Amino acid sequence: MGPGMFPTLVGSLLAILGIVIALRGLRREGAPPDRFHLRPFVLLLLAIAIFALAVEPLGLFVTILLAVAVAGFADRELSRLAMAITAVALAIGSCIVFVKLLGLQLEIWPPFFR
Amino acid sequence: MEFFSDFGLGLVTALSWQNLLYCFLGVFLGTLVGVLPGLGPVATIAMLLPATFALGPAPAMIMLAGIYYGAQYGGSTTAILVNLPGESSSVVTALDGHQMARNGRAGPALGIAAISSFIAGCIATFVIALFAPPLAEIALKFGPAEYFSLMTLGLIAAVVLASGSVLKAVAMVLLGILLGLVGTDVNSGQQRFTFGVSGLTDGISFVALAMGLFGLADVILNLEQHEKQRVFVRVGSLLPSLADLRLCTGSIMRGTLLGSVLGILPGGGALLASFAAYTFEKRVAKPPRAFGQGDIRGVAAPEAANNAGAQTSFIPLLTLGIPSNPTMALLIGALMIQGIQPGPQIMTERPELFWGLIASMLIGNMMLLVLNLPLIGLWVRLLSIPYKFLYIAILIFCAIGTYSVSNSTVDLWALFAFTAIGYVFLKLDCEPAPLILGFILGPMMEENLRRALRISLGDPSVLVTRPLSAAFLVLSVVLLISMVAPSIRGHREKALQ
Repeated sequence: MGPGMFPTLVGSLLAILGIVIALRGLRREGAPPDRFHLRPFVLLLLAIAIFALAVEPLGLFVTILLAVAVAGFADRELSRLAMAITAVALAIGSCIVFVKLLGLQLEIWPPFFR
Repeated sequence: MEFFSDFGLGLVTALSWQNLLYCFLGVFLGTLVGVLPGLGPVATIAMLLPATFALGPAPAMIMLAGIYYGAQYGGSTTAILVNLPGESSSVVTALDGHQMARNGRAGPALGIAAISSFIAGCIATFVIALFAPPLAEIALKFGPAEYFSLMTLGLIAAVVLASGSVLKAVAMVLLGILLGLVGTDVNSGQQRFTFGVSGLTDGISFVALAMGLFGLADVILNLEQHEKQRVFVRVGSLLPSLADLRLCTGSIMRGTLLGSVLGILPGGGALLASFAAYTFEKRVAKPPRAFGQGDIRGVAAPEAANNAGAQTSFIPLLTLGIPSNPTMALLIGALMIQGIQPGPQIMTERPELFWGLIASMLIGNMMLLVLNLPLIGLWVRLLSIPYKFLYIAILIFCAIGTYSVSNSTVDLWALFAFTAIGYVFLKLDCEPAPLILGFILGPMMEENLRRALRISLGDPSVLVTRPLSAAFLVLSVVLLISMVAPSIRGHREKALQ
């Protein structure tokens, strides 16, 4: 009953199921999977990555501007001006609501501004 | 009678100024995120979770619960007016509701949605108040073996209720359990599947998992489909006619009953309840008018059911400490932040919290009726925000929410990974809900299994020699076998369409 017992049990079950699903998939003619759309997929992930990298060194305000600048391109219809306004509005709004009102432990400004 | 004194205590708690304020805040926010398509109660509660630390346990739970059932009201507005589910549980409301709106009856559709939600909410509150105490009493007698078998049954039930391939759903549950085991083993202190990453010693962040699989993966999917032009309709008078009300009475009652029962089941809650109620109503309603072409009963039944289901899904949480859906899992998180171990002892140790929460649901439902009938214009205007602005806000809110739970960038990378995985899952028709339930129940199952085996000195037969535990396991096996039986499978596919 060590730490490995339960994971081994569940893992073996999952492996068996995986084999069964794979074999059934090989045997049957199925519809091809839905097409992947790379543009929103890559840009949204990139925006999360930027958020993760920037939020501690640069503070919330700048991070939101950067993340919106990337994520905004995921939708073709959004104009540059609208994107800039959204970015600034979101940055100001988030800093006020999350940091000032809800009291989340986030730095707003980069360290050289503080 | 004891019931009245208990409920009275709850009312006193719920009616304090502070709790009234947070109850209002909760239902207001709930309606807001319910109206906005793409932002659900899971993401909202996750974002507010860190902020509830400063509140006491009662206001925190009252507010978070309000968000969940409030979202059920808001979702119907979007479904009826623009044919988009504001909330996943209002998908079926759109069928007849939007048709009614196109026939120029948007007002009565909105009115009956709010009224049936209100009636169902009030009845469900009493269902909780009546059934939770005896259930908690039974639960106090449960040993680890019973808990393990009950959770097995819960997971199997979640698989049965999931749409799509059974095999895939079982695989998703198992994957969820394994993901839930990442981190430090509580018994031995060993690191499991952390690969030396210090941020994973406490396990994978539940909020990152839920927001990635449910929130952001959906956002990507929405972005690739071109936005439909939203057609607005005039609302007009909200009050349904007396004939409408008479026609709907039966539907509301059936919807409430079905919703209350399905809400208790693991994997259940609002979503399943509304689907089941609509299917059921189509079959039994007399005279069988044209469902799908604007039948008011097609709005009343699922709206009653989803609100009843949203509320009774608190029963397993409050009596067993077992969450039946992702929202309830977050509420367990909220309780733990307050230092309260969820389980049957809440009722006896914290009666003011337990009964206060239940009484607040009654008050919250009244507030929602006011918020949704006279103030409907406000919510309609909110709908004019195009998705191209909304998705950016959702992205930023999800990122902030994920980070702020424990101020860790590792959680943000988990969000990154689960967003990517979630999108692939959606493309491959693998439903994320069973995975999330496995993730939450997995560690609890392991803990109870090991405890049971330690008590029985390593003899696994303890799971089948204790009568209650054996009953749960037999039920699980029967459920699983019935899934493979072709006749029932056909039935299930039809019902879950």
